[in-house]
Amino acid sequence: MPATDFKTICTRFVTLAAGLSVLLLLITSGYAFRVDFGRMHKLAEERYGPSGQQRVQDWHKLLDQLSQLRHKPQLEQINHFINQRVFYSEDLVVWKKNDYWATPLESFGRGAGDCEDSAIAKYFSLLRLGIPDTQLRLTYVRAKQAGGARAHMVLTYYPAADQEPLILDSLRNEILPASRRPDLFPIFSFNSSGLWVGGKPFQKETPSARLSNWRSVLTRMQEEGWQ
Amino acid sequence: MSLIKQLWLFLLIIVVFAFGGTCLISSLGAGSYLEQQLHLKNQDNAASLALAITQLEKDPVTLELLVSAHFDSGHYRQIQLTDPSGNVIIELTNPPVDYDVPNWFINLFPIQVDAGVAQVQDGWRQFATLTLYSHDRFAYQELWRSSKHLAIWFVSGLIFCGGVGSIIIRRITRPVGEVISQAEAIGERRFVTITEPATQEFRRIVRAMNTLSGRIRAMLEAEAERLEKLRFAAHYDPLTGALDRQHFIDTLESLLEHDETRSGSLIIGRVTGLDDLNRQLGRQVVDQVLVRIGERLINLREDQPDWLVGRLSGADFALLAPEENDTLQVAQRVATQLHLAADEANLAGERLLPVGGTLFNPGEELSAVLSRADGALIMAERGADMAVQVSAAGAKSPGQTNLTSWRKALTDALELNDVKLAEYPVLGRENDLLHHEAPVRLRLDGNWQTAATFIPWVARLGLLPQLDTAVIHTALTELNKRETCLGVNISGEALSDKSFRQEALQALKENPHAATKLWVEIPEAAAFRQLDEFRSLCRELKSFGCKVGLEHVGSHFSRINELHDLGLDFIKVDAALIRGATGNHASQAFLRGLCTIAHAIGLNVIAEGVRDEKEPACLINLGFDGMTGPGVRENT
Repeated sequence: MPATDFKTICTRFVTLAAGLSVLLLLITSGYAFRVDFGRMHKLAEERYGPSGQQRVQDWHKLLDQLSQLRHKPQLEQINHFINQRVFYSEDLVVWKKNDYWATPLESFGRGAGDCEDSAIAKYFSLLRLGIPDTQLRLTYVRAKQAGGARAHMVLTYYPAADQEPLILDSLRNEILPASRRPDLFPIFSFNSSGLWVGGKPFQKETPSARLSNWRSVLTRMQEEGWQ
Repeated sequence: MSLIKQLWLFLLIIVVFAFGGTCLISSLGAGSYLEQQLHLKNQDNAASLALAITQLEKDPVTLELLVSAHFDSGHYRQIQLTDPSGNVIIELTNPPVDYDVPNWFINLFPIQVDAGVAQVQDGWRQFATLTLYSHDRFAYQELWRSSKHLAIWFVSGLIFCGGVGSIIIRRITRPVGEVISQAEAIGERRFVTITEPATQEFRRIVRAMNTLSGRIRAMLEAEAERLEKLRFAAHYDPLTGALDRQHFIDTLESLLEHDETRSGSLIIGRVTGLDDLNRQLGRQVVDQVLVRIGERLINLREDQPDWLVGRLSGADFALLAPEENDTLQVAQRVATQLHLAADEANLAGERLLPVGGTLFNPGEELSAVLSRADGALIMAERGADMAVQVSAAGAKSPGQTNLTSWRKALTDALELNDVKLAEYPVLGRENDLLHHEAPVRLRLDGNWQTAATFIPWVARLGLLPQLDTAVIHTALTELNKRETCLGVNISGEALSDKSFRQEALQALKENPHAATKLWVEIPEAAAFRQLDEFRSLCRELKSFGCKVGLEHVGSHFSRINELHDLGLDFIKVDAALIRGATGNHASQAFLRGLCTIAHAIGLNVIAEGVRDEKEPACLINLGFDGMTGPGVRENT
């Protein structure tokens, strides 16, 4: 821990204070995973034009339709919708960056994204539909393909803590249990627990938090209307 | 609240806000920064440990080793591994340690770091959730250390700013006191000037007030000068510059009436055959001779400023030497001057210039003294060989006649405190009582004696300071019993006497209430003779609330502007001048002018020796504020 010299502390304090009003709003809003769709539609139109806005509107409509259904149809519909609307494409093509984790809005807006972007969009859609965080994992997998192995990310759903998960893959429309996907080998999985401590999402998002891809996504989502 | 207190408070608030605010903000800022960093560390460490566990065999020994290795090599408070249903698989906790940081500090700036949480997989199966807390001891220590440094800075900054600030405030406000006292002095009609302070605003105020003071002083000086001319016109013989007959006689009479007068000498010299001379030499030549005589006699006053020279008639000159008992020697000096003047004018013959003199005692009748002096003059005129004749003092033979018995009688009286004060009322314009003038009485050999009896002996024996001390004590004792004021006389001798001053001031200090009712008066001549002593005594007396003034004011009044800054309360004008109030126009003009100037510098003017019924109305008309004397009686 470096010696905290006075100037740095002051600068940090000012930054902290600036973000304080936003944070206060979030904290007082309590735990409810909500999306400000008005804001999101507006941003989609501004940034991505009519086609981007259309995809966001479709997504919004789908979420509304699915909200009363059980987990299984929700998983299928969301998996299908996102695989349709977010066309698989490498980050280098879509974002001109080596590795970029896009938010759902960004993915819908561009209508394109890689496996992570797709998994993230599905993950948050399902959270929004009310599936608990404990049942969902974003999982790094090694995928065997014709040419060899490649790094891939999928969303896994655990019907119960001790059961085998269902795999939502951006490359395949059907949802299969893990045992029927011998081509995938899990490496590591994570969800947002620990990041959203005390049930309050998007808390303590400070400039340093953007350093991690995962945190960076969460921060940007907050700006786009996720609460 | 005073200006200085307000400035101080202002300074204090600024300093406390600046340093206290800085201190608090940086401590809070540092705390929050540390929390954030520790949370990131928790998160990262949890993720990497979870990743490592996910890759390995999940048998208990490997798990134990892996978690322990991580726990032991790092800085953790707790690492916990729980299975999906919430059962603890492994939990490692460091026992609580001594933080080296006071508890109140921990309570004041709590560091609440959220746990790092990560998921552990066994293949596709959920295996466990890893929860990890880093140790916050180092954070607290660091926060405590930096807060301590800040606090030291804060305190030293506070002391430094307070010190520098108080020096600056003192420098800024130092002139305020001076400016205030000058303004107050002007309010009390003491027109003092002070040096201009450095602060610009104050400098302008002081400059303005100095200008005001200077102008008023110049005006006073001009007025005093004009008054001196009036006095001259009213009381002096225009030809020779000696006092005219009326005023000389008035002065002698008032001197005889003063209680505290000592015996003195009156000398009369005559130029005989003035009419013949006028015929022989012409009036102008004779006038020249008279002017010379007047000049020579007046020159005698250079050594003896108390002496007075008067022209009683065309041919008669008189010299009044108060407190001078060697009449013959004075008479001879007068004779010498007459002869020298005659020689200069080539008038030969001793018989032309006889000189007669007499010793007088206080309380004698004016006519008796004058007739004795006249008698001596006639003797001198007749005597062929002695042109100087002296008669002894008449009447008033005191009980004791020799110094030793007087000394005993006086010291006995003082020791036994056989002292009392007579009381004569001093009334204001509306016949209201200002105070009682209280001349001293002593019981000598069982009889109460007036001052006139013993003052000469007291003076000869050098006991005046002791007597005045006794007077002050007696007056204060008396004042404690009553509401009205008392006026006491202090002699010139007491003015310069250290033990008198000490005792008097001590007595005043012990009787602060009585002191405010005490009027102290000092003879004009004595005050001007010992100006510095008078000034300092006056300041000390005034600090106790006494009223201070001059008595027997007359010939020195034109110097009153030397005393205007003292804040004197009153002057008592000599009876010799009061005689003129009902007299000629010039005398009245002088008295009116005197009252005007005295009022301008805040003095009350009181007439001494007021006699008949006519005088009070006249005096009030001239501007007098009060009067005392045989003609003034209290309405009962």
